[in-house]
Amino acid sequence: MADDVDSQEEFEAKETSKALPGGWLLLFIGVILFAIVYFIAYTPAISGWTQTGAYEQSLHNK
Amino acid sequence: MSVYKMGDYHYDNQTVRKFIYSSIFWGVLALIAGVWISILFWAPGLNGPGWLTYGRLRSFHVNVMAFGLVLGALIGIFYYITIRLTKRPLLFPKIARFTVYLFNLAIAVGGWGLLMGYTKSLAYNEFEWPASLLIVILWVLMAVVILGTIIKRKEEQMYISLWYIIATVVTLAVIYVVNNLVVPAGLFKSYPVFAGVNGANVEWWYGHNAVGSELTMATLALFYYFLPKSTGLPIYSHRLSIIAFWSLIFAYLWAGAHHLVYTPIPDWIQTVAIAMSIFLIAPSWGSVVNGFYTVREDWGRMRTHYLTKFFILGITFYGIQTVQGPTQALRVVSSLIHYTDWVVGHVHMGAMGWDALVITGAIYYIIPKIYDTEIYSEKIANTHFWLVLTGQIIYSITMWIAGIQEGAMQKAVNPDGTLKYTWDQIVAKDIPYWQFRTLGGVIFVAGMLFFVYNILMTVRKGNALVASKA
Repeated sequence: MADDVDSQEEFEAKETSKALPGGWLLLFIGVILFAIVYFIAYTPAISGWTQTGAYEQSLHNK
Repeated sequence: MSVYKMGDYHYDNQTVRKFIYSSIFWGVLALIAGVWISILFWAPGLNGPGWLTYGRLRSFHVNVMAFGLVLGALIGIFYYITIRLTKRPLLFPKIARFTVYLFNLAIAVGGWGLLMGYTKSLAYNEFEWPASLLIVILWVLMAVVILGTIIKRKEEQMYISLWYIIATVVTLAVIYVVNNLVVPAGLFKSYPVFAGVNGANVEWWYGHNAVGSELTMATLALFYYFLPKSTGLPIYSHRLSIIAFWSLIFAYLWAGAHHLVYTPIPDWIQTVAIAMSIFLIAPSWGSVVNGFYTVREDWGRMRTHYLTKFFILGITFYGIQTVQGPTQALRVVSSLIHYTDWVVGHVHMGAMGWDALVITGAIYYIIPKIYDTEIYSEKIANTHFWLVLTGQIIYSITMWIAGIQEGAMQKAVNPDGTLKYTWDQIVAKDIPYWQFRTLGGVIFVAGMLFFVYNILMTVRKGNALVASKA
């Protein structure tokens, strides 16, 4: 039976090993910003938004 | 190339093989159970007595699939990858061999228990405590073997697959032990120490990350190893894979409470979970982009290297899955599709589209490699591929449509505020979708049976080859 061993060369491309595609980087920064804004907007201690408050508001709107 | 001398020792391929065969055995049982319970949805008259009831077979399907098929295959493949990337045999080969038997005992005890009606009633964690205890022992022994081998490695640099393996081993150990803190009341019954809102939070912290470690991190370990191996193309960017890994690890364990949107769980915990879920799109797509950019070097390998399409289609469904999942966490989306068949479609796209393709692709690579031969039939492998792809797409799409319909009907109200539809009216509308789901499931299972046949024939060919050399 063959006992193969691996070399790093077959796993990691040399020329592009440090590349970060621009579109992906934009997505990365974008979701971080979204997460921060969402956290501020929907945390009761920061924005005052609450689940029960939103529910009562929705009953008034009907 | 490596200066490492070959022939000093033999890798323990037997343990790897035994794990793969065991996982195929449990997988076939779990697949049959899955198709059968999908039939019971639209033909409830077929519901049998005792262990043949829907309730017992459903938990058998889910738990034997997750722990029998997936976990079994993953442990075996982890051993295979670890010895090759660390360039040394497993640290405790006898313990590794012992884990095969422990694994089968644990699944047999747990699966039998579920069929007999003994269940912890925690989602994805339904085996009663004796089986869970066996799984904990199995996991500790496996962790000692894997982590010990990595610590004593002969290759200094750690490839990304090893990081994902470490993450899986550690994460699953922590979440499984915490969600199994139970007080036994006899051999077949136990009570969790967490109750109420705390119990729910711990359960979904576990549930989300059990899927996250088994079906995401572990499968990514396989993806990063077998994509370069089977295509001959090196991974596009090492940096991208490392950044994606650490940001995935950072965010994953916070996201579990998105299963509990609009419940008595504190608002801020839900909000953190939703924000982290949205963030997870980026690390997930880091792997998707890395995969596509790797094969972009030569798309022709989709034709010339038959395994390429398993990994590329797999990472494509992973990409869809990891946009769908975070979107579902948003409050407005969750209120429509949660508690409907949409979620069933979502999880099955992941399991049948991403995990099944990557795991079967890995096994197609490993078995011939171990025997130093070729796969029995590429043609059968291609038939398998197209059948599981078709079956999965039929399954996922019908469940998404059914789920949106269920959600819309559940939310519909009359002018006076009463509900427009009763539960049985909603269910009656689902029947054609459930029938189509069974069709998708049958096609998928047919594909998986082609896979099992192909592997068995390759093993037969390999054994004949070994005998002729001896």
